[in-house]
Amino acid sequence: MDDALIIGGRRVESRLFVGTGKFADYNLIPQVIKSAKAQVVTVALRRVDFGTPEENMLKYLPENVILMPNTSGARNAAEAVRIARIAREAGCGNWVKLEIIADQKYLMPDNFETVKAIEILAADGFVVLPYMSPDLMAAKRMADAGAAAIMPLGAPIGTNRGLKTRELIQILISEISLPIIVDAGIGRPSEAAEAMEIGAAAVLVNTAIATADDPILMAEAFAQAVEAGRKAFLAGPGATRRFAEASSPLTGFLRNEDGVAP
Amino acid sequence: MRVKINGAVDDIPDNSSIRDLLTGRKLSADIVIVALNDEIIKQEKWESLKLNSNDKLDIIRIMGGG
Repeated sequence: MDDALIIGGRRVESRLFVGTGKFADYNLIPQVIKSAKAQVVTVALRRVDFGTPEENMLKYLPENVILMPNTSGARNAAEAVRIARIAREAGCGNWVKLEIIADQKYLMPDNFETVKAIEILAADGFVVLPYMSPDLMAAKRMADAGAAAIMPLGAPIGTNRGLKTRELIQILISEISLPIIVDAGIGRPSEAAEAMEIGAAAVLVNTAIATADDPILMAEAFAQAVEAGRKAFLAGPGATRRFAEASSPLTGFLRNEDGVAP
Repeated sequence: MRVKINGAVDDIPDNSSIRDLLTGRKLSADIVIVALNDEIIKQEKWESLKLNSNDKLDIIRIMGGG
């Protein structure tokens, strides 16, 4: 069965997107990408800190990945647009994880500025994947503005707390025709599977893998969970019910119809 | 002359090129992106393009991020 995800006209075979932040060592990254079977990989742009030694992060990424630079650090639409354009000029391609954050405590995205930036970037040829607070109306505005997918948060960035926004994400999945990709908060493979079971098109995981004791093994666990969750969604889970319903016949074997043993 | 590098004012010799500046800061070309007054400058121009007083430079790199 062909179950590829299409975003911005590109086929994405792997529904596990991975972030490359917080790894203790860049040398882990190629192995993590391999065991996650990830195809879409996020990176960030930063001003050089002249005090610390520099390394070229891109050399750790396999050639065939789709790079998704984020606009982290942007506090408004104008800054995000600027970061996205620099990333494209720098050879990162035309995908962008649009992330506009002015709240430092919970790192909540600014849905309003995000809509403005999507309009500009989509018109400029970018494939825009906005990180957002799961709100139906905001998601609709983002879709209208030209987003290629919608990426609601499951819980605040880096918290590993899981699908706290499950109900709201379900509304997006039901009402928005774009792929819904759960980004941020997923801390365990079971939570990734849960997101996929309810119909998310993909999940983006960074902290949960990067901060695991064994990131390479955790990446593999996430890959399996995402695949399992996707298959479960496609298979269509059975209905839940309040009272028990026997899975085996209960009558007429070791006792009579009147309930008395022979 | 005074220029602004990554948000901080700095004094650099007159007629410096971008290459001079990066060499002075021990930055190799394959790891950085240079924006001069908000415009990305391609590497082949780093030698020839001379900086002017009050130029605004952003020296950026790609790093791990989520």
